[in-house]
This record gives sequence, structure tokens and C-alpha cells, in this order.
Amino acid sequence: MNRAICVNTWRQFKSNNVRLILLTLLILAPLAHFTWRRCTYEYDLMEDMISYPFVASLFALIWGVGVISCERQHGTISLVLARPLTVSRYVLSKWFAVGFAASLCSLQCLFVEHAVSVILYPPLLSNLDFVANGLERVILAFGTASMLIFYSSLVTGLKDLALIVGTLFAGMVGMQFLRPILISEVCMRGAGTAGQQFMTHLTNVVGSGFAVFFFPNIPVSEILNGSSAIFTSTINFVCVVTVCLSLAIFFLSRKEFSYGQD
Amino acid sequence: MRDVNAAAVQAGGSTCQPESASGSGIEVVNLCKTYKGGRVKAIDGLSLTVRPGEALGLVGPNGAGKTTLLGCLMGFLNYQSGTISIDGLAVDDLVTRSNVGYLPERLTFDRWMTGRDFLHYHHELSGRPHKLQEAETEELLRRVDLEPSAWSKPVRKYSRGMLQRLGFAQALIGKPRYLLLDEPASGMDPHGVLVVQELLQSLRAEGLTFLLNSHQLDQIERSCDRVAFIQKGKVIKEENLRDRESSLSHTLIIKWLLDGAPVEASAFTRVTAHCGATLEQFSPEDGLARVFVDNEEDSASLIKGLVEAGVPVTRVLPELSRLQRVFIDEMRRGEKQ
Amino acid sequence: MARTKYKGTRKQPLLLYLVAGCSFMLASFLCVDKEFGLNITYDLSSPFRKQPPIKWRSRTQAISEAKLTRKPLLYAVLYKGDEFAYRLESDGLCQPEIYNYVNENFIPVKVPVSVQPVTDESLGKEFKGFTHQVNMDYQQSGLYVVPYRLLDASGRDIASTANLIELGATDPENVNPYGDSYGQRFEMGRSSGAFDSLGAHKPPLLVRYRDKEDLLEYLYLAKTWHTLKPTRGLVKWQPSSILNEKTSVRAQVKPRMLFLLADAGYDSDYFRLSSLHSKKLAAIINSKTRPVLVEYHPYEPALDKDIEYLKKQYGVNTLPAVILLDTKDGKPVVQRGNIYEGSLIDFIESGRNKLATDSEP
Repeated sequence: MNRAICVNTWRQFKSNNVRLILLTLLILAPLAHFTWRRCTYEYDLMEDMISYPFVASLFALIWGVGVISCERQHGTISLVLARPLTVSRYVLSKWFAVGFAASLCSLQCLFVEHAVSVILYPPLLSNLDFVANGLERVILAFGTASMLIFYSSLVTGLKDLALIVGTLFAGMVGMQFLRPILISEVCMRGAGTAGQQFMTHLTNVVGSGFAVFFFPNIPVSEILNGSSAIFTSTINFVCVVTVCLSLAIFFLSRKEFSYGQD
Repeated sequence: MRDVNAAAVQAGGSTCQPESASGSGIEVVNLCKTYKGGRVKAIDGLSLTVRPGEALGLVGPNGAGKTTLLGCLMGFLNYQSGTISIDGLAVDDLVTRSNVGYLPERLTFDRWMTGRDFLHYHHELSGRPHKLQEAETEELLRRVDLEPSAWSKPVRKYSRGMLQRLGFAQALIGKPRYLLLDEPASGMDPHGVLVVQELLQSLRAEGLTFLLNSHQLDQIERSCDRVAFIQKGKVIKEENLRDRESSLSHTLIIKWLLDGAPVEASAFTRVTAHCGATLEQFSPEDGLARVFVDNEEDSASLIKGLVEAGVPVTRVLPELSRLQRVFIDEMRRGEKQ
Repeated sequence: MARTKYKGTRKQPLLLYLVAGCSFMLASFLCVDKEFGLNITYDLSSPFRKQPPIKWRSRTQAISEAKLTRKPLLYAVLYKGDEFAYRLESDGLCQPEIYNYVNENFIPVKVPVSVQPVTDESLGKEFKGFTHQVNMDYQQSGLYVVPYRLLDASGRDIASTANLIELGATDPENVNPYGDSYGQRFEMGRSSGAFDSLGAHKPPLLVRYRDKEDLLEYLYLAKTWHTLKPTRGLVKWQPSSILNEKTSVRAQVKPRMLFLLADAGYDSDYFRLSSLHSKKLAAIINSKTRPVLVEYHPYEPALDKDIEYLKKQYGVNTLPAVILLDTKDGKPVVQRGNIYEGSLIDFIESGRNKLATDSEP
């Protein structure tokens, strides 16, 4: 990974006010929520109040929206690629920068929440739940970062956010409306129950693929409780990350970076 | 990747002596590039060679494809047919990248960076050793004549000239052997233009090969060895500026001292007719005359005749510079076709 | 001097592409395997999974053994490829405390389900009558307990055998050593309706547990469930000897009320939980009548020989039934059928049966 690109990505964040505000909000919101809960319900003092690992995904979103596409829009990417640097190294260092920053932010949040819980109820120090939570956060941060890098390499400017939202929305609409139609259409065409079952299974496959793509996670806490999903979830995670990064490298290396042609 | 860079750094570092430019230069053979799926032909069968140590200037009207050519030479644009090679390697080869410096036409920066940060960033990106970072970047900043007070200011506070200088400094990181400059003096004040001039001359003395794309013909005349005229994506003429001027017919402007004896038009017409030249304009109140001559011999005899006739000639200038002449000729010819 | 291998900025990372392609194919295969129900990975990985050292019996063997040893049957319903089934088999039942307890106190039978929907035939020859006994509508893997007394009973009756109130009682013999927060740390299968707070609809199917202690608590409860006596509610029962008194109506003496209940069966269980545990009804019964309880054992007819005559005497065929012995006109009035709190209160107040449905003897 190229250290200069990572450092540059992190420093670029500092100058963007909107992102800084969102980051602060995201750090403070769970803390405020838990404080409110503690103040209103007494018995929750014994519970280790740490938020779900899902917040790592939100952190990655804040850090990673438009990493590559904003550079392409401003045109600064041409100067960077004028150096002896391969596109794959560039994409990988961007991925690492976003993932690392997001996981660091979410781990910080986790430590603060856990520290507050421990201060209020010291026996919680021996509770190792938060280690599993932290690991999940890191994994989720890097997974979501890879997805963001993929979207970011396709378009310029902040349009990748629109693309993500659009895909999510399309997926939801498809699941709610298209799926029943597909299932019933096949049945009505006389393909029989076998065809209907096939369509049901197919839509289930597409739906679960969609879910894995948008939430690439290895559920560490469940695995420690004896779940069998370790193999499947690791394969899914590796698949999502490598496929996203490969597609990003592939598309970016095909793009033309021109000056003065707009 | 680091090994490649180290090798390139060693190779690049050893050529900082004059007249030792190695490698086989830039070769473009029959390049074709189209936009919009073939509808717009930006470059149409362009062939060009730049020998190592040579400075080539690119001249042409707007939209002739010069910026596209530089984009293709840097490997940013994909071309449809033809070959380009720099030192025999592909244009976006990593070794080539460390040997080539590029100054784009419209340079954009991250606005929050300071000048020094920017150069540090690019210095690190090009894989140079970290120990030399401070020293080399400061040297480059001094070379492009950027004020030290501006080095720590964010780039958004820079003027156009300062931005251009910073861009030039960036192109020189890593002591490249080739420089591709797209309008290096655009938007610069006269002092900046002079700085660029001196810089280019010193770089030529060091043996750099460069490809210069400019609209300012006088700058090209002063800095370049050869000039290529590009129109509609083709090289229509190449002119070697180091050769003696070919005998082209051109217009001379003759100025004489106004305070001396009045000069008669008749004397002028006699001398011009004798030399086979044509008098186009005669303004005794300005002390100016415009004469059209066919070749160098006529011009020499005209001057001799005027001096013998007692005209106090102070200056004899061509109306258009050499390059301007060729440019206008070629453009007119191109338009006719 | 052109290099044969391209080493430029647009160099494609072939190793990454290879890894991406392989992992994508593997992930899609696993997804298809799971969603389409092919269960190829399940079959391939079965030799590598831990098998719990539980002495599984076949069903017929288990039924005969249960009648002999008077131990409850423990059915382990394991759907192929199910997450919980794997966890139960390879993690829960493999723990020494768990399998020792199971081997000692239950008769375990393994029910592997590979074909859905589940029928007796799809499970095998020896599972005849299984779906009658165990309600398979939940489509969940889990543990199901059948007490030895109720081996011929239907799933509904097994589920409703309600001794739950008694378990939380302060009687030292019946106190649950794992705490009286029953059912909070593991989840039982639920009926499709709302979960009844009286517990009558709660079937003894375990579909989820958090850790080893929860599983142990369930097994303990399952063992003691059906061995406890059915709950008798809040009513202060009189000894059955008062049944021998002569029928008479005297102002100072409260009339006698005879309750005929089965010790197992949905209707009786529901009656016990809804009516006998109602504080209001119990207060009325205690204050206005002298209640006597006679319990029948529909699944152990040998025990009912001495009390069969009561059913014939009052013409009762279905249980539960409530009979008011000392009425104004001397004839005992019977309430059968749907007896609930309101109707019983009316019955007691008026001394008449408002919901007479059966024919006279």
C-alpha cells in the first residue's frame, strides 16, 4: 500500500466540513442514546451498553463516499497517475485508507461506550463481548469500504452516493413487488410447482446475495457461541471484498483521464 | 514496485550531465485517436519523432489535437491505432513514468494542501527516498522561483502564476529525462514567462528532452530546436529552427532616424526597384517603410543600397518572425485544402 | 529493447482476479446449495462433524422402554442443513453435563428430517403416529419431550399438560434450582396465536438457547414437568369422603360441588389453568361451596377402576364436568362442555346449568 495516498485521503477529509459534522454526529448519537437509556431505566446499569457493529458501516460510508470519484471530478487523479504508480496499488491504498479510518473511528466509539459501562459497573471489565463486537466492526468497515471503492470508481463526483441509494432502493422494490410477481407469473404460465419453487429459490438466492453485498460481515459473536456459519461467512466476505476491488481496478484502468476535453 | 523505482531512480540520476541524454527518444508512428465512437477524429495518422536531447515545439490552431497528443503520450487516453514509445518502452510503463515529467494545461490541486505538502506528496508518490524529500523539494521550489513565504500557504491562496510554477516544480520531481509541457507559460506575468524561459534553457543544457506545446511562438522560437505544425490531427510541416532560414519571401520593416535629413520616397522606390523588391508602405512622418523582398540576397542588397543612398537606417526587422511566417503560410495552405 | 511483459500503470492484478473469481464461484455455490435445499455441503461435511455420545434409540424401542422405565422420551428433531440443528448436535449435546443428563433421565430418539413437508411416511416406517404426537407445524429443529404416561396422547394434549404454575411454587420439592425466571433465557416454540400467559398453549419444544445453562434448565424442567402432579389451583379441596353424605339442603351447610377432571388432556388442563387459578372464582367456590376433586387418568385406565362409577352416576362422558350435588330440588345438576369462569359463577349462583348440552342419563 502506498502510504502517501492513504495519508492524503485522510487529510482530504479534514477540509470537508460536511463529513466532519456527520462524523461528530455519528460518534455522539449512540452515546447520547445510551445516556438517555441509563437515565430513564435503572436496571440497565448492569448491561454492557455497546452499540451494534452496524455503525462501522456508517462510518465507512462517511469516509468513503466519493474517494475516487471526487478526485476524478477535480482532475487531481491525472497527476497522481502520472507518477510511477499502478492503478491497482492506487485502488488498494484507497481501500485501506477508508477501511482503516472507519475501523479506527468505530473502535474508538466502542472503547468509549465500554469505558462508560465499566465505570458505572466495574464487574463488566471481565466481559469480553466487546472484543467480538470490535472485531466485527473492523471486518465490516473494510467490507463496506471495498463496496464504496467499487461504486466510487464508476462515476465522477458524489454520484456514487446516488448510485448506492438507487441500488438499495431498487433491491427493496424488487424484493417487495417484483418477487411476488415473478413467483406467480411462472405458476400461472403452467410451469407447475417445480417452476414456482425454482423461482422462489432463485429470488431467495438473489436476495441473499444482495444482502451479503451490502452488509459483508463475519458474525464473530455468533461464531463464538458455536454457530456453523464461519466457513460460509468468511467465503462471502472474501468474495465481496475481492470482487469489488477487482471490478474497481478493472473499470478504473479502462477509463481515460483527459485534460481539456470537457 | 520499489525495485523498479530504485532502478529508474538510478537511471534517472545518472543523466544529469549535459549531452549524455541516452535512450531512443519519443517515437509516434501513425497514431489515430477518435472520440465518440469514431465520429470525431482528434488525431489522424500522426507521426513524430523526438530525438534524445532535442526540444520539439508543437504549434497548431485550437482543436488541432495537441493536447490529445500529449494525453496519449502520457498514457491517459486510449488510442485506436498506431504506436507510441518512449525509450522503446510503452508510454505508461512504470520505468517511463519515472523518467517523464508532465505539466498539464489545466492544473488542479487539492485546495487544502500547501505548496510544500504538494511537492512532498508527489515526491513520495514517485518513489524517491524519503531522506532526500526536504532537500529536493526546496531546491525545486527555489528553481521555479516561488517565494519562500508562499511555501506554507494553502494552494487556494496562490495566484495563477504561482500555481503554474508549482506545476512546473511538480513536473521536475525525480529529475526526469523527458518533459511534456502543455502551455507552460499560460497565465503567467512577464517575469514568470522569463523564469520559464531561463528554466527551459537550463534544462536543455542539462540534456533533457522536451515536448513543448504552446501558443506563444516567440517562446518556442527561443527554446526549441524543431517545430512541428499540427492541423486537424496531422503533422503538416516540421521546421528545424537551427537550420539556416530558407529563402522565403517576406516583408521587412525599415526604420530610420527622424531627426536627420528628410528621406524621399523616390530614393526608396529607386533602391527597391533596383533590388527587385516591392515597396508596400512608406510613412516618412513615422520614419517607417515596409518592403517586400523575395529572398536573402535581395534583402542584403536592399540594405546596402539604402545605406549608400544616405538613408539613416536604424533598424531592419522582419514584420513577422520566422515561425509566424511559416505558421501563417501553412495555415493558409491548410485552409485552402 | 521492448519488454515482453507489460509493467505499466494499467497492469491488471491477475492474482486478485483469480482469487475474486474463485471465491465468487464458491460463495454462489454455497448460497445455491443452501437456498435450493441441495445440502451438498451438509452431506460432505457430515463425517467431520462431532457426533454427541448420546444413546439414541429407535422409536419403537424407545416407546417400549419408556413404559418400562417410566422416563420421558426426548425427540431431537433435526432438520437437514438447519443452523440450530447443527448447533444442538455439535455444540449443545456434545457437552458432558448435557449428554450425561440426557442419557440418565430421558430416552432420546433422533428424528432426522430431510424431506419437507414432514409426514409419518417421509420419516420412516417406525415413525407411524409421530406427527400426531409431535406438532410439526413449526418447521423448526429442536428438542421435544413426551412423558411416558402420554405416549398415546395427541400433540395437543401433550403440549397442554400444565404444571407450570406449580413449578414456580414455594414448595421445596418443586422449586426450580435454576431460578424462577422460567422461559426467559431460552425460547420455546410458540403457537401461531398470541402467547397465552397461562401457559396452556406452550408446547415443550426448544428451538433456541443462549448457552449451556439454558439448555440444562430446559432439560431439568422437561424432566419434572410431567412427573409433577397436575396443578389443583387455588381452591381449598375437601376430602372425598363428604361425597358419601346424604343429599340435603340445609341453610347453614354449603352445597357440595364435584369436579371431575382428567389429569391429562387439553380441556381439563385449560380448565385448571383458567378457572381453578382464577382468584375470583376460587374465592366464590371456597366461600359458597364445598368442592371435591376427582381426577381421572384417561391414559392409564387401570387407575380409574374405583372412580368409574361416578361418571356413570351423573351421566358424564366427557371431562371436565362440574356437578352441584346439593340443589333445591334434590337432583344434581351437571355442567359440561365449555366451562369457563363466567359460566361457572353463574352456575354456582343460580344453581342451574345455563349451558346444558348433553342428554339426561
